[in-house]
Amino acid sequence: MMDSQLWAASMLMLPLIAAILIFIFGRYSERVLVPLTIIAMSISLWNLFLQVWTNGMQSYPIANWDTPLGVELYVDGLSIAMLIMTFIINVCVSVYAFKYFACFEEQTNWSIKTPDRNTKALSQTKTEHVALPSSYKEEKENQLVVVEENDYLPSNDVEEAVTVTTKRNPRAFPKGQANFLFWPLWLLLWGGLNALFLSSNLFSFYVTLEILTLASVPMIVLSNTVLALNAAMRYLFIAVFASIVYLLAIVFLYGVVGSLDIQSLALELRSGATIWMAIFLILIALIIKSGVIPFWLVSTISNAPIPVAILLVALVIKAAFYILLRVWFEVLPNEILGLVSQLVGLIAAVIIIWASWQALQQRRLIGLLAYATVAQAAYLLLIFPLANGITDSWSFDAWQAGIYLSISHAFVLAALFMVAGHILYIVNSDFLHGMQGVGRISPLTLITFSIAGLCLIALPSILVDAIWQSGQWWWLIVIIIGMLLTTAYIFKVLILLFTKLDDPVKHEGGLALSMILIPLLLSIIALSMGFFDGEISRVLAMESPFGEVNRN
Amino acid sequence: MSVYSVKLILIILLLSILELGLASAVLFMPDPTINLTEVMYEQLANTNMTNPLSAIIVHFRSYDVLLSISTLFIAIIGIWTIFYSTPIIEKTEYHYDTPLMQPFPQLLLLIIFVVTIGYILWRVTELAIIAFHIGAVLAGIALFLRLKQTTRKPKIKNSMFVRLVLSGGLLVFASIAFSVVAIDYQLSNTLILLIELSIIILIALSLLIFFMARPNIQNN
Amino acid sequence: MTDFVFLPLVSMGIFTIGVYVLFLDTDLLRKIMALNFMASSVFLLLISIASRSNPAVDSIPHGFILVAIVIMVSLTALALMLARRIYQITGQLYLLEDKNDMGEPL
Repeated sequence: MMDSQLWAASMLMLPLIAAILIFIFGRYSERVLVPLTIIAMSISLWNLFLQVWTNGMQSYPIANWDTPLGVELYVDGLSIAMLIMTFIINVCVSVYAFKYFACFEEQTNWSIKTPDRNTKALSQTKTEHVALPSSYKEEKENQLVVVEENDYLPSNDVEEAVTVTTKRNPRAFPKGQANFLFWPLWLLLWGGLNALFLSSNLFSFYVTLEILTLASVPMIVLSNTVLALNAAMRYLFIAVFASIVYLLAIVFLYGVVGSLDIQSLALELRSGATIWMAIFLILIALIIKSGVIPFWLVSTISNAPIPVAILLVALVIKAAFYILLRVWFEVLPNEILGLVSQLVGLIAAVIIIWASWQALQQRRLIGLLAYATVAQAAYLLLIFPLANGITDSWSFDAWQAGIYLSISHAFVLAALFMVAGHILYIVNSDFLHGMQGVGRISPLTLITFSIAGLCLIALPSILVDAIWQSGQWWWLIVIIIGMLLTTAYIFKVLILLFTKLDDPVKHEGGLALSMILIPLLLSIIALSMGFFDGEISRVLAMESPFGEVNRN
Repeated sequence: MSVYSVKLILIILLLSILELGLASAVLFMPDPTINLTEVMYEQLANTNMTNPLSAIIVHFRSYDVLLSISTLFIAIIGIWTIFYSTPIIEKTEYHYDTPLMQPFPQLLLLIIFVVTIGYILWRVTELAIIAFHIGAVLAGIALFLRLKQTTRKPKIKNSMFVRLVLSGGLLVFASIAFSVVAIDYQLSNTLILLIELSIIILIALSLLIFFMARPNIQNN
Repeated sequence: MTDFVFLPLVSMGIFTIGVYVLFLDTDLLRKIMALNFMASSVFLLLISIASRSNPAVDSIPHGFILVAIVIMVSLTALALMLARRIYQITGQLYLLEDKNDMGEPL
């Protein structure tokens, strides 16, 4: 008992303490402390997993104060699955980020003062430099992006399409110091995620959600552009708005029940005007947070550095989905959710088709993947209409399919973004037409993108079984259209990568092997999840909200 | 009717629907089914606290408090990240030629400081509740002293010592919390006082950093 | 129960004003203030819920407020820093249009 308490507590305290130590000891200490933290985390995660695997659900009241009054750390099958996913993604991201920040240290882009007015002039001619607007003239060392507007460039001009680089301000931290601050922020994000997955209290969910926002906003600015600053501000507004709406909703629940502990809420909740409003507000807040509406995810991700984009896509939006799962299936009385769940499904259907269509229109790889992420986040919402009645026999299947889908999406999307970062490193541009023939230089890139892309296309089919059983055939149409569109935009990229050019793309420096082996590993993990179907399903069944159904 | 007025009417309509929903939600809020007050007063006897709120902060809900205190630390790192990854623009010249900088307010400042310290000693059992206020007052005093020295400002370097002082409070809190949660270590009164003082220091320093926003004022 | 009318209604009114300013004002400072307005209105609601409790005042909402205030302070500090940087670099105190650096809408 005491042992496992140590493991659960260290899941959230180790990253916090490590972040403080890295912050104190400064640059280069991360090279020692990050591997040490990962080793310690793997030990405690393994022990926690063994504890749950052998003894089932665990709950540890903090400092021995019992739950309605105190707070407890709570681990069941769902939390341990999320903790393992977080661990794998975070380890991969840390190795990737070491390489990434070493490769992209020098790139900054401060020249764009007001892009809405001036950038029209940027895209006029093919090879000549454009007459500069006055704001650009001060910075003579810049090289400007010169790309033709409508047509694909022939391959020779790919070299011209370099990003705008300016001299890093000499008065800032010594070179790369700002990037060093990524490490404490990343560890704090990890600690916040673990704290979220270990909480069983709606108020702790609020606190940890705010930790996620606070840690991820500054990381977006690390890509050193005005647009990133802008995107960070926008993300901050949307995320904090959603958090406050969530806070208001749980205050309503507190007013009705008098406790915010999930177990006591589940027993005491009954319908009424206040509960209806609380459900409405919680749904708004968490659907915004999980990246479905509005499309804040797109501007945020396309302006963030790749490792940060992966953290947002694979972990931060999944955390909101996790809270939605907890609230929907374990707190809210399920007899009043029937109509609401069909509404959520309708929103999801519209977003799936629209976002996939938008992804097909994109001219940049990162934009394409960002819209793909929005569509994939919307697929997860489809499980709410499917697993509507908790008593139905297929509900557990639908719930399980949703979690399975969210975990494999995290791996697949992380892999795709990592490959995109690698392509960015090779061709130094994320325009799709600049990527022709990359597969010739680096076949591994092509292989990884193909595996991950095919996974992305095939994944929503996990839901088909639950759809079939529940008889809600209309969602099948949505999934088929979505899959067709996904196939279209994945193959749009793949064909470009396959293209044979007479004059192959040049690239300086090495291929950065670690940047491509990690996504390969991740997509293999995503593929091999199918072989551990039984084990995953056994873990998830522990203390699931469908416990009684399962026993029957 | 112009587009503008249609838009305005639409906005007013939407906002009033929202307001109506929220108002009905609070007006028809039933009495809570669980009342934790009795349980809390029972459990209060098991702690050394007399005030229920300080018992909640130090004992019952210490987990949430630790997480919320760590957000101050995250905000410090976040502000430094934004500061160091954006180009530095020329500093604006500020003029502190205000009545605040006269000798009389300085006397007032001394009085505030003495009263604050006296208040801490007086309410030492409820320090957890007033930690934020005391931290804010201390930060205010430090800020005033900084603004006053127009000619020779104290330089704050981005050194390991400064970073240690900034995060030391959280480190103390986190280590005590870790030992309490992980190995069932009992909280003594001294440890509680240590936690409260470290929280006060962390709050005061982070509020100060939030204002100054940057550590290396020295390379000017 | 009769006391539980005025304060909650006022707090919800403040919340609505916050929503209005957050969505329809372009000025960054006002948007940040709107977020604080919304948070404060929720705190007000929590206080009135706490005072509704029957034998003695319920202190748990007060604990929630103390925790949430610290979080709002951190968030506000971060938001102000971002707004200040945006002002210093672009010369404007409002968000740029959501476009990529080719001027295409996202």
